[in-house]
Amino acid sequence: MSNHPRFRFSEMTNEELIELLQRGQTEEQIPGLDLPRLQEEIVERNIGLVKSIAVKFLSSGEPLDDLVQAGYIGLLNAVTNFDLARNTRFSTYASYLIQGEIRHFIRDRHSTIRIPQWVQAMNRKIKMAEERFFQEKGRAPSLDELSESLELTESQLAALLRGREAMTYVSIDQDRRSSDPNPPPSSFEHLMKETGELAFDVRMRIMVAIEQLADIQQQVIDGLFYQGKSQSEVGDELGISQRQVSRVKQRTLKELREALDDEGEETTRNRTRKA
Amino acid sequence: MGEHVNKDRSQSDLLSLIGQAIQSLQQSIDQLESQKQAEGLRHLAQVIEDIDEYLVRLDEDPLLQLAAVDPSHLERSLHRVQDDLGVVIDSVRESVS
Repeated sequence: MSNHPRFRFSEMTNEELIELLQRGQTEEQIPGLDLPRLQEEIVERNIGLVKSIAVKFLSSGEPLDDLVQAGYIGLLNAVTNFDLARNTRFSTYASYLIQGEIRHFIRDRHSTIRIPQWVQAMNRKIKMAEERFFQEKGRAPSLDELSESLELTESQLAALLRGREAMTYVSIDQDRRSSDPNPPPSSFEHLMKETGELAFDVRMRIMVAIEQLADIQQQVIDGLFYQGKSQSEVGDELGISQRQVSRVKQRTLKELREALDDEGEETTRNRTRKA
Repeated sequence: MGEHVNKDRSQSDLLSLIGQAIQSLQQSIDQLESQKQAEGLRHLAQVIEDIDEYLVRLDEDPLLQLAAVDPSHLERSLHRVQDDLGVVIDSVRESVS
């Protein structure tokens, strides 16, 4: 191992290692400094952080290895761009970039996922309020400042952000990231964890699950009734008789009708209850 | 034990599964909002289970071919729904423990 006695990496903090790395990369030569080993040490030390963040995104359906790979890019960016003068801990900053890269990766992979209109509208509102604040004050708003401009309570906004985070994987800081490679850590993160409110984001996730299912349902119905194929053609393709195709369609229609009736009754009941 | 969750759900086709799942999810929202966490969770878990059962018989579903639905795409979508519901279950469990 080329851990030169002058540089005992294992006894140094992340910040000290990065300072050394940045010096080593900019200054001509630091005697006894093994730069590749130093980089390796930083990565090895923080790979656990990447994994722990990647695990949180498993619900995206992407394999853990791919999420870790994406997070690894974030870690490398953090090592390159970390600004010691900002007085932020490296792990905080790295977490931020790792999450950003993983979200980027997921967003790219899932670009065909339909984000519900109401989530998009909510995103736009939050983003616009944040940008307005930026233009006026030249800095990112705190949670209470943003909630004030949106006329929400802090806990409502925190729940909104948490829900949005869960649904869209798009951080409102991502656009800023393109113009500022070293953005400050989000001021919302710790506040969001403190609220303890759950109902909104739980509700949002379930509603999106319902929308996804309804979307599939719509596709099936479109395919079934609007593709213009005759029952005989479908039967030939499936190797079943036209009569069997007809039966499947009839059953589907019957079930749909029953489901719609149930829904209608439920709606009437709710309306009566509210009245 | 709260509201009974129908165990006899041998959905043979996708639309039956979806109809049932949407109904269960709507019920779970009502129950979670009325602080009936156990019932709400049971409905969520039931949907995950129903999807699992359906996926085992995916190839036998005549509707998929009738509607020209790509089974692998459908499988991914249903898994995504399961994952999302899994996260909800974890969150609710964490909040009550």
